[in-house]
Amino acid sequence: MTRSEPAPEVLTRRDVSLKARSQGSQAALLGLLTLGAVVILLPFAWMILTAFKTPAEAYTWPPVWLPAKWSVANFTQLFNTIPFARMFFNSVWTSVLIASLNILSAAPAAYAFARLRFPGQGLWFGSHLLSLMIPWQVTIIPVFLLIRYLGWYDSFTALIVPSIASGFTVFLLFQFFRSLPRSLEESVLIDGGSWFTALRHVALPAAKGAIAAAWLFSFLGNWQSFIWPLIVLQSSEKMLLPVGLLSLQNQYSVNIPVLMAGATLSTLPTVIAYMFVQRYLTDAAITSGLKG
Amino acid sequence: MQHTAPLVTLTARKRRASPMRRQETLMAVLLILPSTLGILAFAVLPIAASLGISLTDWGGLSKPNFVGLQNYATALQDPRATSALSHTLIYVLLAVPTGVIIALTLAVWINNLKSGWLRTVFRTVYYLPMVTIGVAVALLWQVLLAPQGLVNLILGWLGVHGPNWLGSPAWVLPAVAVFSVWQGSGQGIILFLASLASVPRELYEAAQLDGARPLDTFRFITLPMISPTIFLVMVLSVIGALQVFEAVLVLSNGGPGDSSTTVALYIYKTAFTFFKMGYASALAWLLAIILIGLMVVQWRNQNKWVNYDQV
Repeated sequence: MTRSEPAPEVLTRRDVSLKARSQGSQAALLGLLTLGAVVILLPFAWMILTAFKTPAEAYTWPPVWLPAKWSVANFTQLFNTIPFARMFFNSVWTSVLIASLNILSAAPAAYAFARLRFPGQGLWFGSHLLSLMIPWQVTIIPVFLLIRYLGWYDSFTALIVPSIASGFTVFLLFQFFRSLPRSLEESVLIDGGSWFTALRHVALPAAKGAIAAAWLFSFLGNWQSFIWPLIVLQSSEKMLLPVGLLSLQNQYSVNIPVLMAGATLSTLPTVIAYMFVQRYLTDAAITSGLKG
Repeated sequence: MQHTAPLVTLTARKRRASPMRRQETLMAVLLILPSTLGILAFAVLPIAASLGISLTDWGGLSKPNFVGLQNYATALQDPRATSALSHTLIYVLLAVPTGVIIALTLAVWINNLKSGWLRTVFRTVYYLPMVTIGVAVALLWQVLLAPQGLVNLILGWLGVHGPNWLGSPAWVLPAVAVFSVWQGSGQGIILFLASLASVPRELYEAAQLDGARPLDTFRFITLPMISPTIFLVMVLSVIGALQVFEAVLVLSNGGPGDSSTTVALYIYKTAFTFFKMGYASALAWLLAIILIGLMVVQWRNQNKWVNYDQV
């Protein structure tokens, strides 16, 4: 105890009123924040409810909240209209693969930029930062033309190869390695170990948490990625979820409940997974804010 | 005041013998090679190529002809380009200030909650839209913003007759802004929360002892202490909003007419619907120049009002 607390039982009238006021303001805050949470959550609830409605129920005015009968007909029609399961699977495996390749290429590079000294270091690190700052509108056309020239159009190669290197992941892990105390690695080096040993046995194990966060962030980015898959993948059995959903919108036979069934099935998995990993993701998101 | 510890607390690097240094260089080359090759091939070279393409009339199939700065001159007189720019700026003005104020307000409220558990709950809920697929939630909002959708139902309860949001040239950009604020405020909120948590508690305690009212505390303590973050969130929001693409493509496809065609959408259509690669590249560079110019101007201006003690 560094300072003496006032004895709790000696409450003046002023203290009592302050305490009451503070409880009142906590209740008011809770009320306002709950209202905000309703604004966030109500659309999701509406999406799920609509996914179970009949088209007639979805188009009535004033809208009905609950479907008269909970039917999975819209989900059946969703799977009959587009290869939804295929698209979902495509999104999962490409996102997992790209996120893993990001880490594999970024972790060593980030370590080298944070710890080693070598000629051209600033230039190469600068190129990574440049890739972060340049808007996608500039690079997307030449990369598209390159992909077409290589004959990769409408192939997963076109999706994956340009995404292997990630300036953002390098930056995220660079920030982490730079904050790591140097003493442990120094002791490895002094004992005659190589930089490789220091990386493998000291820095990487220490970076597990940061790497997990970077992987999650990269996975989410690829899961949400829209414009590049829209441009380079065309056949519906190669489409990823976001573009697949857009193609669903363009099917003339599709109605609102079917669209909402698709939106529900593609939204819920990450929302549920997020509840479990939100701490990691939030940390990475805070660091990501610093990239601008 | 928070003390600022030096970033690296280590013994001075000793000059290494040259074999050691060579080992270090070799090691570094191996470590950065995969990532650097990728960045060179798919970011650095494309930047140079894009500049080159923007000086041609390339349609993507035929042989390109060098046309100098013709594309840039055309862009400045292209009514569709200038209207796309004005739609984008209107959107930025609608979405960014609202988004930043809402995110800041919610973050301050969350931060003032005494229960740590409730703080986590609200932070998690407000961040939820950020982990969804943009197209999915945009399709959802298309339904909500329909003339007979949930938004107009709720407005009706309040006695307001809601417009046909996405079908009216006047309301489509505000509608996209509403969607974006709903979708994106979580990012601002967690940045603000991280920043608010770093404000020293003693400052608040001192203010309380002096009998400061909550609004004064906010005005004279919180606001100056977190101003670097406010600035950061503003810059990030403006940069993001100037490139708005997915939301308008899905919600309104740039319509009705061209009334929600933004710069990014116009560039996309010029390149991938009309295959005018040269012209689209020039447009992309004009957008990039605006973005970079903005970053420079704002980074310079921040010196005037940003508190640097806390970053």
